[in-house]
Parts: sequence; C-alpha cells; structure tokens
Amino acid sequence: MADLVGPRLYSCCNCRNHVSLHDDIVSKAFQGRNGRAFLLSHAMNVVVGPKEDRHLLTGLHTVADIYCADCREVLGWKYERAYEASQKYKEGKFILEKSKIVKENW
Amino acid sequence: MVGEATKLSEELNLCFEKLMMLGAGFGGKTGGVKMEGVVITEWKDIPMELLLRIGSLVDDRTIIMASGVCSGWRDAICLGLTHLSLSWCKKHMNELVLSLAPKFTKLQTLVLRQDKPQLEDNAVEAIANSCHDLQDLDLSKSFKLSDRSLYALAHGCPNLTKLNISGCTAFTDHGLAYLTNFCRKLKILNLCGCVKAATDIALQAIGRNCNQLQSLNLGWCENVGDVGVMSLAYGCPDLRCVDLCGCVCITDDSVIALANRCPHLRSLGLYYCRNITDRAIYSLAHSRVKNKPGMWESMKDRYDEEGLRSLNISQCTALTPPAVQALCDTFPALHTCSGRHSLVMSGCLNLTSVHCVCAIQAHRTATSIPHPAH
Repeated sequence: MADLVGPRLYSCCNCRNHVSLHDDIVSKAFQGRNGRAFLLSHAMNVVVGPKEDRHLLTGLHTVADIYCADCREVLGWKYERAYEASQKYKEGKFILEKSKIVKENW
Repeated sequence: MVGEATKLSEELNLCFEKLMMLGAGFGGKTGGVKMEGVVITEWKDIPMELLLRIGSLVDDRTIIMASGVCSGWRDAICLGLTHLSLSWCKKHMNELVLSLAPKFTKLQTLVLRQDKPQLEDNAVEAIANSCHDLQDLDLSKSFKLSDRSLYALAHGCPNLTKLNISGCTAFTDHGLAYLTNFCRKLKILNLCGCVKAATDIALQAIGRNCNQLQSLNLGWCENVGDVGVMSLAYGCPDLRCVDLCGCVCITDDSVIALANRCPHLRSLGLYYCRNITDRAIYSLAHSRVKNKPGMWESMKDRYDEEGLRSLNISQCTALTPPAVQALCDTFPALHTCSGRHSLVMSGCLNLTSVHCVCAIQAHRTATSIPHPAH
C-alpha cells in the first residue's frame, strides 16, 4: 500500500512514544492487571524498573515493571525469571497491557 | 531478503564514510569526524540543522518516516518541522493525524485537504491539543467534520491566520461564530460551499471579531444576505479579496457597503448575483474617486492603490454598458484584453461593447489584420 508510512507499531497511550512492533507480538491472549495484554519478544523506548517477585495467575515469577521512556507511564512488565518449567519460555519477554497502548495505523 | 538488506546498509555506510571524509578534507581521524566540537560517527549523530535542511528537500512522507528512525532524529524533526502536508494520504489520514499531532507540536502550516473524506473530529481535536503555534490550516473537503472540530480549534489554535474549510458542509454558523471569537488574527478565510456555516449571524461575528481579515471566500453560500455582508464591510476595513459567487440573495447594498468601507478592495466576485444593478457598479467607481492617491505617493503605494484588479460579474444580467465601461475606465487594473483578462462578464450579452484601454488600442493598431472572434 503506497499509503503506509512505516511498520505497524504500538505506542504509549499517553505520549505516543513508539514501544513495539506488531511483528514482535508472540501472543495476544495474556491477562494483565486490568484486562487483556500482549506478550512481545521485544519492546523499545521503555525503561525497566526494579525486579520483584510476584505471584501471577501462572505461578511465581520475577518481573520488572516497564515504563514509557518519555512520560514514565507504566505500560506492563518484563519477565526476568520464571520458576516453573512450563513458564520458562516467557523469560526475557515483555507484557504490554492493551489498555496502555495504542495501535498506530499509519 | 537478509542479504539484500545487509548489502544496502553496507552501501549506505560507505556513502556516509565518503561524505565524512570529504567534510574533514582528508585529514580526518579514524572513527569519526569533528564538526563544531561534536564527533560524528554514525547517521544518528548528524546535527539537527543539517537533518532539517535535508528534510526540507524531501517529500512529506519521507520526513514522517525519518521521524520514526531513532529517537535522536525524532526529537530533531519534532522540534524543527513547521510545514506539513498530508494530502497524499488516500486511506489512513485520520489515524496518521492522530499519531503525528502529539509529536509535531511546532507545526505552523498543516495541509489536510482530502480527495476522499477521511478526517474526523478526534483528529482535529488532537491537532488543537498539540499544535498551538498553528497559523495556516487547510481542512478543505472534510465532509465528516462537525462543530466539535471548530470548538477544539478555537481553544487550541488562537494564532490561526489562514483557515480553509471550504467544502466542510457539516459546520454550522454557531461553530464558526464561536471560532471567530477566539481566533481573532484571521486574515484569510475560505468558506466556499459552507452553506450552513456562512450565514448572516456568522458574518456578523466575523465583522465583530476578525478585524484583520483580508480575504474571504463565500462562494456558493446561499444563506449570505445583505445584513451579513454589510456587517463584514463595517467590521473588516482591510478586506482585499471578497468572493460572493453564487450568493444569490445579496443586493446592491452589500456592494455599496464594501465599496465605501473597504478602501483596499482588489478582487470582487459577484458571479450569479442577479440582483446587482448599475447602482452597485457606480458606487465602486465612486469609491475610487474618493480613495485616489495623491501625486507625491511612492510608486509602490501607487500600485497598491490601483484599486480593483479583478471583478467577476458573470450572469449579472441587469448591468448596462455605460456603468461597466465607467468602472473599467476608473480602474486601470481591470482588463478585458486577452493577456490580462480580469473583468469577467460571461453571460452578459449586452456588455460585449465594454473594453479596457489596452483592448481599444490593440483594436486601433490592427486595422488590416482581421480580429479572431472573442
């Protein structure tokens, strides 16, 4: 399409800072703090916060909250460690909550 | 695919290095070139001014793509971009505006004219929330926009000097009047086809608020009447170009008001204003007599004060030759000759004898050569 300016992206809902590519989505069927969330292999322009242990639906994980680099809005978290074998695939990946990101259809 | 990409990036890197070598005059150290104290090693390091200069040479789509390359380029372009046009967008203009408005906060000129109506109120609201320096906005043919956009622009873009909302048929006079209350610096306003917006109420608001107005296009606004145009003439003494084509309700009173109150009037369109009679034409001629510059005015002032340069009285069938000829004689800039045709009288079959001075001279010199039919 001659119209498209760039790749399909997701941006911070607050400041429209580009945080992820559509191509990096691994799964759309995750559950965040308040609703649906996406699992991504890569996120950009985000700041990773301090690590903490959390009990999630799928068990104990070490996660770190991720913040938009521009406006510091909490967008989701990053899986640092998973303690069950079935959850290991999540390590190093990012969760972005659907309510915090906006699809850029440019 | 991967091989092609690496080959391209290798070529780009070579190109970059060559440029840097030239810049350093072959005395550059390895690993970078010093330019005004900043070491340039990669594309992301080129100075903002240089990037913006390059940006001014490429088309709008490219500059938008460039703003997504890296955060350094994004910040440079967002701080420096002042003119942008998105009229090339065929399908996704609304989403594009929603993405770009929060970033390009320094925009002064924005062209969003559409061939296919795509723009919606939320996009204009996004512009109004971010681009407070906006001076020139073109929203022509945005059929989907409602008064919500006008309210948003009123609050967000008070520095507007040029606004084109021609073809935005859903705007009403309430929205337009509200806008003029806040955007008082308007100089050029195009309301062609805005039938619901351009009413006497709106024109009265414009006359009250936008006293610096120079150009107003009210083409095909059937609800415009004498009350509105007279308020306009009284409120906006700097009017230079007024287009009333298709404003079928107006009568001589409107033209007389414009002639008397707007000494800088240069261009007037009265196409299809069937109620216009010789009275209006004579008042235009008399206004010139009143405003004629003195002998000692500079050449520039003389040019400015040549009076009416362009007049369209097509289909004004009530006019007679003596009146229009007097007008043509009074204003030297009105021409009927083919080179500089500015007095347009299509459909006025009784006015074929009216000629400007140059047309008569041309007639006299060419005696033996037959003239082609006009």
